[in-house]
Amino acid sequence: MKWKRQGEALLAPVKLTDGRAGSVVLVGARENPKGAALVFSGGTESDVETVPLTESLHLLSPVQIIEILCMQERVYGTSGLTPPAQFAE
Amino acid sequence: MSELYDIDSLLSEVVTLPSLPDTVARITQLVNRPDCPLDLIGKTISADPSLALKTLRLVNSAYYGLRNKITSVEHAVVMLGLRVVKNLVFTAALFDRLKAGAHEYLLHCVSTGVAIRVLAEANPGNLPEEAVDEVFVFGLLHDIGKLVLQEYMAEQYLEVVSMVEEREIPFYEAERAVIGVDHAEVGARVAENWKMSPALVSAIAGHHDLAQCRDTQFQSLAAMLGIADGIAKAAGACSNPADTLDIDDGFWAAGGIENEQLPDLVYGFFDAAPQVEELVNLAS
Repeated sequence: MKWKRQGEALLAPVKLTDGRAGSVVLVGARENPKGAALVFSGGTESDVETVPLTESLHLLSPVQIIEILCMQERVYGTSGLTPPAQFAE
Repeated sequence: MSELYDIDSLLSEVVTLPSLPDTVARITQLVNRPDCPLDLIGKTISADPSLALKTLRLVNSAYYGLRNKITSVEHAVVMLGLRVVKNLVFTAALFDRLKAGAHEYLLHCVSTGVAIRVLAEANPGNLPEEAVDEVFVFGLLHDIGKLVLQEYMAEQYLEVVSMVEEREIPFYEAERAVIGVDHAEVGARVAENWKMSPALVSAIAGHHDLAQCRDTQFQSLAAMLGIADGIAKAAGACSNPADTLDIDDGFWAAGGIENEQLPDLVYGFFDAAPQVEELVNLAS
């Protein structure tokens, strides 16, 4: 996944399993229920849905889920994983 | 373009597989004897002071989570049983061998070992009973074929690394394109040469490609090893910065892992991160 920083958040475009395009937004650690979310368009063009990651697992492939969870922990987590060089503070 | 080998021509013409340290080979033989006395195992390990010391440090690490400190190898044998001690000794011996690789390589192997143990503990129904105790060694050994290829085919391996970087393909694909054989196939031969269990040989062979699994009854283990390898990479423990996260779609069903289980499994690995650090320090 191609991640970029936007303010305090990390964003990556993602193709959902139902064929729609969406974005993953990371804003905080795994303890924060809103720390990772999926943003995608709903039924109409102006209709944008934001769903916590834990409620949108069926829309993602297993590899995408692993990538998202690991990136969240590396950038916002406390377990000591090394953050990617481009997002290290 | 370099010459392409099959595994047999590679092993007969170019590569000499590494041997197992004498003490470890002797212990493996003893443990496999049904009448083996426990004190003989303890004495055999103690006869190699460096191995005994490393084994004791390992058994007292957070990874094993024992309440009381174990102060002698003989005590460890009585407390933990032969199978666990065999794995301990093997792990201690492997640490010495894996130091030949870069720090990143060791970190990747230890991380994969810890990750597959988390997976195995959560999915014991999919695994043979004895496998959960053993799987850390699976992680430690899964990429040993890379060390062998790097040692004996240094020039070709530089070509492999370039291909991985340029085309963003997995190492095993580049190895097959440049050498004709991948590290999983070589690693399985190393494990076989060391008389490791058929489960371990099959899992190493199939950890990128289940079709390469020697025995289909061990496909779930091979799939778990491939998934653990992927988790370690995604968590930043890559043996090479160019390494890609590549897990075949068939691995999830073979490993019995559903999307809904993934957060808890991956969080379990994060929670075990301090163990990874301790084990890497112990090995270094």
